[in-house]
Amino acid sequence: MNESMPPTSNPDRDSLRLRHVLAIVLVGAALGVGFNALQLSANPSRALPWVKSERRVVTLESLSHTPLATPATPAVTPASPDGDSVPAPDAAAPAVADTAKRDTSHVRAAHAKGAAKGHGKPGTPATATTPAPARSASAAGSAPAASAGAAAAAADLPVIPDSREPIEVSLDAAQKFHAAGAALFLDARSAQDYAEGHIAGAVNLPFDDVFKNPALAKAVDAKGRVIITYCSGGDCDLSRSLAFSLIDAGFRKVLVFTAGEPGWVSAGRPVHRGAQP
Amino acid sequence: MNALLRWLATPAVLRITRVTIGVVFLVAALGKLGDLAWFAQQLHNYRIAPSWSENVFAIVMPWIELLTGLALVLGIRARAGGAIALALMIVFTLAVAAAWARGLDFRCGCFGKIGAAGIGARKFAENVVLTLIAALAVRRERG
Repeated sequence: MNESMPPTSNPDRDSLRLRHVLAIVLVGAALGVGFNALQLSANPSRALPWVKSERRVVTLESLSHTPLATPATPAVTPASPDGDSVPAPDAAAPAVADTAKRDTSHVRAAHAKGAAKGHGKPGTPATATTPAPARSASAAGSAPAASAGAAAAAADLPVIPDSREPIEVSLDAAQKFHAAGAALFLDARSAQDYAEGHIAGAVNLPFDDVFKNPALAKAVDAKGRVIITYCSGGDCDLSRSLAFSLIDAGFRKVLVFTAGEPGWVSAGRPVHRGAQP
Repeated sequence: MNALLRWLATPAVLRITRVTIGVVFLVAALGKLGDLAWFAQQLHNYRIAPSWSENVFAIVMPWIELLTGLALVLGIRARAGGAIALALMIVFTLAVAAAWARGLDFRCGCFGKIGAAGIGARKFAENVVLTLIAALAVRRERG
């Protein structure tokens, strides 16, 4: 640059500056540590723990005693293989859509046939054919069929304990809640992402909006159901952030569906487009 | 070019750059100190530091920023303050760039809850400009 300028590296001044830098950093660190120590002793809720404990990922599987390995199809839970199970298909039948009634008659026919042939115990044929109407109901995908599935799935729902931590749930559990209509699904993504495709029935509550206005989280009406938040899966943290906001707002059964919208889509579960749930 | 560099090193211009970056650091520090837990959460979102060390950064960083801002604004140990500001701005800019490149979607946490902007091109550009100002603030005064 300019020869007339003093050399840029002046050992004395540089070492002096380095000492000043160190002083600022060390005093800053000391203040931080001291301040946090004071906070810890006075008001632990406002202080940070010194070492962040790796947050234990609370998963539903780790909390619930209900095994989640049962098939996802909302099959009518077979009752005991005694005579009690015989009325099962008939009990399910009124809820099943007209389209599925043919299957119900099949069941009755099969039941009669089985009874006539005298295979096994009286209840066995009914139990064996029970999944038939349920399968056709879920295949039909119509609203009444869903309600039939709902009645069946409700019995199969995992029990959610009250928790101040969001509980992560798998696709399997999310599906069960969806089928039973037992959860309010909240889409934490932007309105634009939501409109491009979301879990059928999910309500859009962008975390960005809740972040700016926490009252939005308090205004959520889950109608006594659990809340399941989700976003884009993978690295997406919006669902978890929204879940914390909901817990701050007083909710105690907040689940995070970690696979998110992509996981839901790839599982072939119902998706809606547009601004409406 | 030489003239420009010399002009940028005049006491008046240096003072302006130092006060500017100093005020930015003060606001950032106070914003973070207002809600440390929130800042720690934002720090976690960057996924850069090992998880166990995040709280240490969250506890210490705002205070270093505060002292740096004070040094720059008050003109006490201003060059040392400028050096810290420059180093921190480079680290912050790299962190934002890394998060942006990985497509992480969260608030930057740069100023605590005050005007928390999303990670992206705009935040990156802001940081680059602030880094340049910090680079000016660290220069020695020339008459």
